[in-house]
Amino acid sequence: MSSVKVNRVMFALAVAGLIVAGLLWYWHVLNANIPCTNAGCDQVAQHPTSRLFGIPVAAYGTLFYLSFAFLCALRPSVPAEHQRLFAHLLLLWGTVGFLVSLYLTYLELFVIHAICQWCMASAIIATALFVLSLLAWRQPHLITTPSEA
Amino acid sequence: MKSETRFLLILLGLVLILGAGLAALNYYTRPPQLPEAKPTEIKLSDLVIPGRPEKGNPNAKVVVVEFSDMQCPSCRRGNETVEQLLLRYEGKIRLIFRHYPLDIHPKAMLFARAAEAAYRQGKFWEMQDLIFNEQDASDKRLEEFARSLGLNMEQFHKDMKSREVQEAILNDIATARRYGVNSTPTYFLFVGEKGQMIQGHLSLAAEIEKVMQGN
Repeated sequence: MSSVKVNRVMFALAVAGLIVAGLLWYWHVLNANIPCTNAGCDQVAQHPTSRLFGIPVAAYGTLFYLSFAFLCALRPSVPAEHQRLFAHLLLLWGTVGFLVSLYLTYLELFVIHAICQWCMASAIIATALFVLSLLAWRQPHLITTPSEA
Repeated sequence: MKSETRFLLILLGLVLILGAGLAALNYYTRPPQLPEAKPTEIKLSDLVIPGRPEKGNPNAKVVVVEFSDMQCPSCRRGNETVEQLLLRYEGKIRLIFRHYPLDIHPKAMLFARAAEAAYRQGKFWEMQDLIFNEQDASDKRLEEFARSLGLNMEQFHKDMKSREVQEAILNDIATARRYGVNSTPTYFLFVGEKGQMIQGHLSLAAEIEKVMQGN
């Protein structure tokens, strides 16, 4: 996959994550019943660990995906000499997202004992972003061929 | 700025505007939500429902409804206190058990199911005692408990996983939440129709002493 395509896929995934995290944040704030095929989502949303410093975890997630998408959007315009730095930033962000998702999934499985499908979706997206950010890190320069421009 | 960046930023902006717009629309058009009112009075008919484990004199004027979590150490001590009260005021107290397994106790729900399944074979209190004696019991130990009580094991397994057992426990939890129970053990003490909520077994003992002295 060319680096331009990797960047676009990362952008699309970050937007998907943004939607999932945004919805979870919205539902959490409204204390709404979260559409879920089991009772897991509500159990997770009502658990004390679903907030950090009084702010819903989903809010941090929303900011994370938003910033990730923003980075991906800016990347094609970054001057060549700064593209490596940008790739480092993406990898750093991708790793943070992955590790946090790993921890949250651990909380779900072993502390709350419930599975929230929306959170799982977010964890899968974060994992995919991490893998792609690794690819982007190995290929930091966006080479735009005329057909892809 | 390159065209790709412009395109992606516009896309991101559209998603944000659309999302915020839909959220606002949804927020302002949602049906008014009535807060689930905490009942202003403690109703006997809410708390004493048929099909819950009970002991003591079924016609007693003094009724204790206990919300308990079988993995909670103070519930174990609470159980001892209640047993002593039942012995001391034999025939004067009716005790009803209701589940309130707390999230902080990973085995509480399992224990509740095991006790509820035993209840379906008439051995609730016996199972509760066994669990209270070993509050870190594994699944395997629970099976041994059931076997030692002479339960029909096939039925026990079936009941533990059954929807009825799950619903009975969830119904107890719902009642507890509605009344704002937030710790275990919590008791509802009724003298006739008049009820009060009491947290902790020592307060319960003190309150019952008061009631009994008054009688």
